[in-house]
Amino acid sequence: MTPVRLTDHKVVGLQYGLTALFFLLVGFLLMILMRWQLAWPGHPLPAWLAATLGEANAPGGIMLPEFYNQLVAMHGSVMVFLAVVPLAVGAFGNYFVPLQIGADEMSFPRLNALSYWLYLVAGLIMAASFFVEGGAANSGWTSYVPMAVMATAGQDFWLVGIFLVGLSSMLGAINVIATIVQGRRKGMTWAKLPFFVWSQLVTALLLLLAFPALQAAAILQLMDRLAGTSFFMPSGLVVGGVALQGPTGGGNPLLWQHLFWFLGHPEVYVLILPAMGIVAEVITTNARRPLWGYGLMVSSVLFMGGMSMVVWAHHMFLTGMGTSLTGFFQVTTMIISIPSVVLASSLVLTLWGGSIRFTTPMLFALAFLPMFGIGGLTGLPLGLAASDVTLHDTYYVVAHFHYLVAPGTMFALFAGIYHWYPRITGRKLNDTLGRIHFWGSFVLMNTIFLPMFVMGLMGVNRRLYDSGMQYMLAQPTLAWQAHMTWAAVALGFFQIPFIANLVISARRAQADRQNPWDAKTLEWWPCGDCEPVVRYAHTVRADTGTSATRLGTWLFLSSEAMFFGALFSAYVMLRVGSAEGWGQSFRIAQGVGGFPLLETLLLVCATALVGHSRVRLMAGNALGFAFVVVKFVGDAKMIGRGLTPASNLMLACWFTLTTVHALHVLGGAVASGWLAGPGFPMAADDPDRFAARIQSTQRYWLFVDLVWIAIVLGFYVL
Amino acid sequence: MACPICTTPESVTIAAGIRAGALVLILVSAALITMFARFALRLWTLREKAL
Repeated sequence: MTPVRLTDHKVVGLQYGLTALFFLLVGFLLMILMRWQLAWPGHPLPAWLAATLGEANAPGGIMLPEFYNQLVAMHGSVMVFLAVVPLAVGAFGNYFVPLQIGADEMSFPRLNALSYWLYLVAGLIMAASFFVEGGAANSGWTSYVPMAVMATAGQDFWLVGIFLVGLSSMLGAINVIATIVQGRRKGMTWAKLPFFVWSQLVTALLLLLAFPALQAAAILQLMDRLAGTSFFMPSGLVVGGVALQGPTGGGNPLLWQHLFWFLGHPEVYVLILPAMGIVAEVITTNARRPLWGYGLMVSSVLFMGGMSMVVWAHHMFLTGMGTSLTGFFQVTTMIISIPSVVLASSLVLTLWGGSIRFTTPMLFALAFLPMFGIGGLTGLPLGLAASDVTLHDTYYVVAHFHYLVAPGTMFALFAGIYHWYPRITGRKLNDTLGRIHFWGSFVLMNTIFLPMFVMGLMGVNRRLYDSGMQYMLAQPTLAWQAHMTWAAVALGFFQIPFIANLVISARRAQADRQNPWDAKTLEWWPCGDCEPVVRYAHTVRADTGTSATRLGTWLFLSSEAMFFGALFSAYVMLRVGSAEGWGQSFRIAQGVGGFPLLETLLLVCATALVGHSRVRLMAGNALGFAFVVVKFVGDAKMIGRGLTPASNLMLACWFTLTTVHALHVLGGAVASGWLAGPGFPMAADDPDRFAARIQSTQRYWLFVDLVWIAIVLGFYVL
Repeated sequence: MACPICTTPESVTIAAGIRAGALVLILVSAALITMFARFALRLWTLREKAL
């Protein structure tokens, strides 16, 4: 038996897929608990369930609001970060992108495997938070401040988990982009790339550039929670009629919202674009027609990806951020709806004149189109501030985004599973069980979410744990909540045929035809005697002008630039928004310390020393470590004088930015040290590879220097 | 009628901070997207080059 290679892209894809399906089940069960509470608020849970939840969460069997808040926060977080995105990107992307472009492996297989393990650890950390004192995170999947800063310890687990999910996404995204650019088989030109690959490419770009903002925000929130800073804590905060003691204040809660939604909105496209890619594959195969408007669709998906980076604050119209920002984000939101319509219309037009087979995957793919249409069109009133003001806090929003993600993206993912299962196992999934699964899910998803639009238009608030029992306007909808809960339970039962199908079909003795759908894409056509694929890992590929290592380094540095960009945007927002202005006299009075001249000298020398000689590399390594020591000596002196991150906002920014930067210097020192030590034999064994590593390390050090220049300008000069 | 709490000096300063911070995020993303667009243009110009 061939041993399983954990770096194989197919193994990583399957690991992602199975783990994501497990988290999908977890998220679903959390939702059932929530729906139970919404249907019968104040009524005791069944005895066995109450015993499972314990007296701390459900005394006398009645669910506490605090526990309900945990369910809301964790349902959203698990579904978005641990279930749907990993399934759409980690599983389908890893398994099928290399196969569809004719590559034999991802560009960086070990990093790819690391990406999965980081995701798994992040998921376990977030899940473990249910068992700490006070329970899991309870401030929504958006973790809005100041509530999240004051929340129980579960919030720390959430923040660490999100940071690791971000790292995992970055490694996965670098791999997908580098593989598509460098790993395409000869003849697989850009114009021939399957649309699924384009969708994964744009998704990876979004993950690469958007996630660092949330990672930066997570660090700032951890600082607020653990180090007593006030990045997000305004002055004069009163909780329960009592003035909050502890934080120095002066922070801005809207800073969190900006940084969160900078990821949060592109994340919507991360959810929807791979779904579009899968649906495109299934529809072209089963309509037996090429994609209508391929060029138009590719242009749209690229435009959509770019625009999705500048629409984030349409989630924040209620914050009163001012007419100029509101106007800007309304316009960008209306613009981004155009490519969405182009994509959906092209998929519908592909059916025109086709010879359609209504297979199970096709049913799911066809159902995706109207579900996405409903979800998308109902988003337009939310993108306009005037209508968003009345709709934002209501069930209308819950219905809108669930139509995009639940019957939208999830149906596309089911389509993908039914479509590609024969490629993975050699066996088709049972069609009858598949149809039962489809029709049950289709009817019940709409039974659950369609009434929510009406409830929202009636003004029922979406944040009430008792469904709004005390509000007159919500009275007619209380009975609907019970119907929706029964529909959700039934939806769970209709997933049993699917799970049984996955298991039973895989165990069938007889294999099906190799390409049972007569699909035309490359993954269905084994290439036994094709010439071997060149990966261009360290050598330059003629039609891209770069190597995978060089490209990977640039991609990594882009992500880092966004990370520090987000930290500096926090610095700018707090500095410009501060009454003191943080000018030079203020900084001197506050005693900003450190040894900027010495530190600059050490950094410049460490960068200049990166080269092919072992002595130079070792010297660079030593200087990098010296920088870190000098930095922490400076910190210790300041702390000795009573100047800590908690003293004021300016010092909070200084300590955070310089510490994060110092950790990056440490990374550079370790890289130089590794090249001088265990990596040095590579200089003789594989000079191309060694040269590529040296070049990457040089670029990394230069980037670290640039960040340092920005820090010096921000805290010592301007 | 103008919102009274929006026109206090404190509110004006905070709003200016938010605008400036959001602008930094927009500028950094625009710079990175431009960089990627330049790379895409290079890929386009090199696309015919034989492997």
